[in-house]
Amino acid sequence: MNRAMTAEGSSRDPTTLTRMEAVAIVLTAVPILCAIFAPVIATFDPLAVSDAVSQPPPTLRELPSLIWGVLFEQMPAPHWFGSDSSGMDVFSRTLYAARVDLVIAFSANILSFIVGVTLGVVCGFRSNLATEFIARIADLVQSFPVFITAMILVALAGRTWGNIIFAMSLLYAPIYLRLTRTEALKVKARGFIEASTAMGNRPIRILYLHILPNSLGPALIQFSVTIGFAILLTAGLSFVGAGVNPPTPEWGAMIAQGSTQLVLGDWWVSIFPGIAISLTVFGFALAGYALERRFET
Amino acid sequence: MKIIPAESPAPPGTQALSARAWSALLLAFLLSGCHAPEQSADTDSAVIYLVEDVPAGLNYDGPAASLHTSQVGIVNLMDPLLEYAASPEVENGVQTSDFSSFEGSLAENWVYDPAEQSWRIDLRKGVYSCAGNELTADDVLYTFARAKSVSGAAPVGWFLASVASVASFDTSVFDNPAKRRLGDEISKLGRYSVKVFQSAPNPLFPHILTSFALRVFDSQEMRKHATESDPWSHQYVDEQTSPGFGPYCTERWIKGDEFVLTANPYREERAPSIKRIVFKRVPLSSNRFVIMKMGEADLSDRLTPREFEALAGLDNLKVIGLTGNETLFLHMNFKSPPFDNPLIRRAVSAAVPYDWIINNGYRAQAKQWLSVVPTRYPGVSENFQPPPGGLEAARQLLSQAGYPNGKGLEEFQENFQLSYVAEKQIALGPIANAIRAKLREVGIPVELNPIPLTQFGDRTLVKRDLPFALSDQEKPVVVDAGYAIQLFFASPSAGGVNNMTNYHNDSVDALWASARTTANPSARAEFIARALDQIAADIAWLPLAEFKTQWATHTELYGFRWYPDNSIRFSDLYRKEH
Amino acid sequence: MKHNVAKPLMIKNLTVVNSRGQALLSDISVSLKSGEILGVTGPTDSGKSLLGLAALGQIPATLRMTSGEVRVLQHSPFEDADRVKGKLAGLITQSPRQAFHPMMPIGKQITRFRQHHTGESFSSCRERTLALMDLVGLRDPARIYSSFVHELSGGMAQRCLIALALSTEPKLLIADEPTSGLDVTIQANILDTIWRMTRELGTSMLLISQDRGVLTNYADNIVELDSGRQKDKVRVKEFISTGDKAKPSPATKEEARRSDSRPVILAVKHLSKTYSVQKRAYKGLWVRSTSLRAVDDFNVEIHEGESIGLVGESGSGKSTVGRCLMGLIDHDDGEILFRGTPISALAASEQRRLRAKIQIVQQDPTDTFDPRRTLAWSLGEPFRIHRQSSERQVNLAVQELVERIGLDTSPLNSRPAEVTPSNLQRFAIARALAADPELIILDEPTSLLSPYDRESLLQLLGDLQRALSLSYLFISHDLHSVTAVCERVVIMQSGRIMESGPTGSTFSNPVTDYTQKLVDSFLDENPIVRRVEQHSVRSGKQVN
Repeated sequence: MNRAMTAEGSSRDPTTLTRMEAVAIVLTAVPILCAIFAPVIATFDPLAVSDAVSQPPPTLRELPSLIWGVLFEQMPAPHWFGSDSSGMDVFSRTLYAARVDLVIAFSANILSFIVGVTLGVVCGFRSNLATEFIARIADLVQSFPVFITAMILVALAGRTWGNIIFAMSLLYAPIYLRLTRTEALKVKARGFIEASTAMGNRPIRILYLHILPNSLGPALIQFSVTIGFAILLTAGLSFVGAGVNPPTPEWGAMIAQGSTQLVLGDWWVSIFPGIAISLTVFGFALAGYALERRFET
Repeated sequence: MKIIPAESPAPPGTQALSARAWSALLLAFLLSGCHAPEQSADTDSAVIYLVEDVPAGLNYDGPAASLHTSQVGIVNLMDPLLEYAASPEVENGVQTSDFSSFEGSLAENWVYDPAEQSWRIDLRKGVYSCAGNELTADDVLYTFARAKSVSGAAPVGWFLASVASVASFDTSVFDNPAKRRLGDEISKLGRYSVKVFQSAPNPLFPHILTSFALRVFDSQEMRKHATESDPWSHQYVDEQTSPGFGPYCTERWIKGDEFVLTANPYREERAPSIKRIVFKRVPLSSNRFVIMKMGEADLSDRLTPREFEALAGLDNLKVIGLTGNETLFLHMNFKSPPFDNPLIRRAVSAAVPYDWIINNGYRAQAKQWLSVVPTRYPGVSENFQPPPGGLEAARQLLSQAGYPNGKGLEEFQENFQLSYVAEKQIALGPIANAIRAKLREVGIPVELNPIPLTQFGDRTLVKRDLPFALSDQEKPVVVDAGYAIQLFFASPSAGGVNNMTNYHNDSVDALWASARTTANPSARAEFIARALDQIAADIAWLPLAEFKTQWATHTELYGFRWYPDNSIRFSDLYRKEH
Repeated sequence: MKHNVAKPLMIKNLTVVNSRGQALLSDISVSLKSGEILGVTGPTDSGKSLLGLAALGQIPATLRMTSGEVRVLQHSPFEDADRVKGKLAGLITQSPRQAFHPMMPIGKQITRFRQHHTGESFSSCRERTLALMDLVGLRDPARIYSSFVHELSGGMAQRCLIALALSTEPKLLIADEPTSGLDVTIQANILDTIWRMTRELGTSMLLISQDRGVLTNYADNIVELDSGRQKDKVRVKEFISTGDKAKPSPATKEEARRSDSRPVILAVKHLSKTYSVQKRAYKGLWVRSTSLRAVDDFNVEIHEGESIGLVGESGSGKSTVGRCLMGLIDHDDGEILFRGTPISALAASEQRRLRAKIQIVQQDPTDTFDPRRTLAWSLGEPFRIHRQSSERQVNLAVQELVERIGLDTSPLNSRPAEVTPSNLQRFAIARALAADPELIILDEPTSLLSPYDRESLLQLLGDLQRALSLSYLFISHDLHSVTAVCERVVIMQSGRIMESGPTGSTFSNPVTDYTQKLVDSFLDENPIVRRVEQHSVRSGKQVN
């Protein structure tokens, strides 16, 4: 069997995007853009308490005239997504919350990526008592229930962004370690590594010039998926009161606050951040899947 | 439930239909069976009461004594010697009391002898406990002896007795075990008569007899359950029931789930109208709201203001309540700079958005608190006045203090963390947020810091190191301003018990000392009033709101009355066609 | 000669295209007479395997047959698949392990296969299967009948596959690279068996292979394919005569003696390496460690400018020797001395510097370069490691090196995936030369290349040796390559040296039986006497 006979893989033009990839790009770009441009798009200060408490969003019937009024007649913007029990604007808070969730998720992920990949490559390359020990520690950490461990760590250390990021990166690093270690083990057995050693290359050099770049593939794909998990974890922590402090806008905290108001009929406080989280996490997961499809060998 | 008879020769189409109808009805039957509240034979007798939690203990000297949910159980199982006199006034469906006079409950007569500084108490005759034992002076002695033994997890009985200056109920009982035996400070005069000596002419004595602690135990029943290691039967009361001479008995008690009271069969006169109360644990207020809305329960409390609002509009329910002693205040610790600076305290009091708190935080189910003691308490006047001028005044005060626009306050960032009980995020969150926003506007760097209930309690009552907090849990259980002063504002050296803000003012201490020792009621009132004025001027607490204690109830239930422990006495209630 | 006898295979004007419209087979017309063995050969991607599949009607789903017809004994394998596949035509492929179900005993699979196609009873099919297994040269057929495929060696599994294919006594047999991957001695044997069976049953065979030696020794006629197009069918004798006559002459004793006078670069004394192997015993419940002596008392002296061949089958230990000499694995016993200095006595950094003097060329050219780097970068590595020059100097040195060797510099900026394997192997040699080595160890450098490319690589190696006075240790199982390049040869079996000496004389007059067997099994591309014409093969003397 030769390459020409295999299915679409080789017949795909690498410069075009599949439908899945396009959707993934849109879904991940929207929250990132919201986070960056929140001050421009938001209509209110996300922390501004007002007397307009628990206002519902405008009805569909009112919407066209409102949009017209805001765009052309200098009407002050209404609460597009309604307001919560402090009178804070849900729309603006949903936008600013993207910052919190994404910054925490990305920071934690980047940190755990760096630590996990470095250790993973080292553990894959060398197999001695120390690296086995590290790998077993990683197994141990990975066996902890993520959410409860994060909750405990944050509760003990205090509810600051730094602690939340640290707790999360501690819990996610083993994933990267494991993925990279597996790849490194495979790469270690390849011919060019042997050739490199035979050439007289120092092990360290082989490690970062050859093993590392060739082992990154799965970890990079995992990065996208783990961003999604990290956002969910941040939101979950805030939901149970172990995440960022109020009144910082954060999707999970907003959902928690709104959940008690659902019985009273105030659906908008929870629904909009809920949709935001769903689409964002889905987008990152889809991006990871699309990346995997694109780079499958 | 009607059973559908099987149809005899029916055409094919309808036969299928009836099979479906049969199964649908079966399903409905099963579902309805799951939902139906407990029915008793007599429609008069069962009240379903949805509570945050069923009693965790029924021992007023036990670890759960301070919990409201425990106190509800205690006050319905046990009767006090005295009760506050009922007042004919009904405020919004709730009857109030005249807190300066008393009526007898277990006691028939009580007479003070100023020469001896003693009280003679005559007991009502023919009062029987759930075990069928008659109330005698022995039970009263047992009650005080048990309190003095300080053998429980929390010495609440002893505390109240000492607050009332009952002779030899002082702190020496902690150091010296020999002091824990009941001496002749309480003596039996006859089968139904006792005498209690005081160490000072303290007018609080009858007050404390109305509280949830020092209620009279059925000593015979208690002794039956005593053991070597537990001679005062604490475990029995923590786990099984509290045997007293009250109108109800414990029918069933499953901690964390259900608590059922039934009428005391031995109590023929003054028998309660409601014969049975089922307490159901529903921790989330939104769930209680939904159940009430569906009409599946008769009574509930501790809902959010909006939930009460929504229920009030329904046909079969009514929301009743009044401002009792539930208050919200801002706690600024004198030992945490810059709260030691009176200008800062006044600046904060100028900036706080009182109206927002009342109108939006409590949906107008509260009023601004203009004193440092609940205004319902006798002898309390509205003596608190925030500086007029709102945010402008706040800014001026700040620059006066040397922090124009808050510049320089960053070094106290730690102490401007506004703490509150995290479990009350729903109720207190928005209020804390509004305070934060307004204080930030004038430059004070406030951040929110919700902390767990246990930690909050520890830091306010034990460590007293909480710098800045929003608190709505402090209610003086004795309806007396002086008691409140002793609890919160007297310094520890002057007998202050829960002085959580570390407030210390010598003149207040001196005034309180005088008030304690004078026998003259009007002199006492004068001392207390002056002390309160000073406390308000120093902003020892920054009072924000007095919010209503409310219940959502079936429209057929009447007889609600407010007591300072905020618990319902079910013997007050009765059903009436609306 | 009967009239209108249906041909076992008739392919007319067959064209097959892929999803992009490229023609993988263009206008192929091929037919087989009864009993004929037709060889099909061509470079990689020429469409040989596809042709074999088309004969069975098994074109992959992603491809389309746009014109032409295929007939097996007048039946179309596409329309009448049930009758053709398995019954009229059988298939032998390269990988027997993928052809058998891993969880069912082999014998049962063959029996069921026959039963499905012939409709005979299970027991009669079983008997036939056992007879077949005996015929294909399996000793103890009863035991193998109830074995699983993973319990058998490569050779045995391949024989079972032959039995499977022939169990229905098909009229047409498609054999697609039936022996690549197998040891030299076994390879010849299996091909002999297939040949004998087809003669006995009167089966025609389509023998597809890249190995000219296989075709010239077994096929009656040969068809060459190139990029889907065919050249005319030729008789095998013509094919042989058109083959490359330029056969390099094997080295003689004189040349060997000449190199003896030059100094010794590498001396290996009593080299041994033992692996501990875990074997499952007692039906897999217990694991027992036994030691496997991969190399046992190996001795060799490599002189300056000398090239020595190290020949053996798989498991002989030759690769292990190569790796020990390269320092990639530790040896247990013995000494390796470079110009008199024991290597193990040197410090690690010294040892690394020594590597510049001993370089390696690996077997798989597609795996020997980092796939993410350009060839220019990879070739620059030895310079960076051993000379620590600046990047610009490295680039210049690479350019110079490549030109000096005479290679085309244009692939330098490509990544390995974009370059052909034979070209890659040349660059691998260039890389080996970058550090100015004295000895190059080549581990099966031509085994993964097509015969077309093999020759030019060997030519290059020969030229380089003469020009630069290099020494080679040429590890291989291909006797032809060894003969072309090496003056001396060392024969290994099971870790031990069987024989050594000048190449020509060792192969033409072997001393040991094993060497004799090796030489016998070698399929010469341009044989003077074709293997199938040798009496010993026709009579079925088993060499196992």
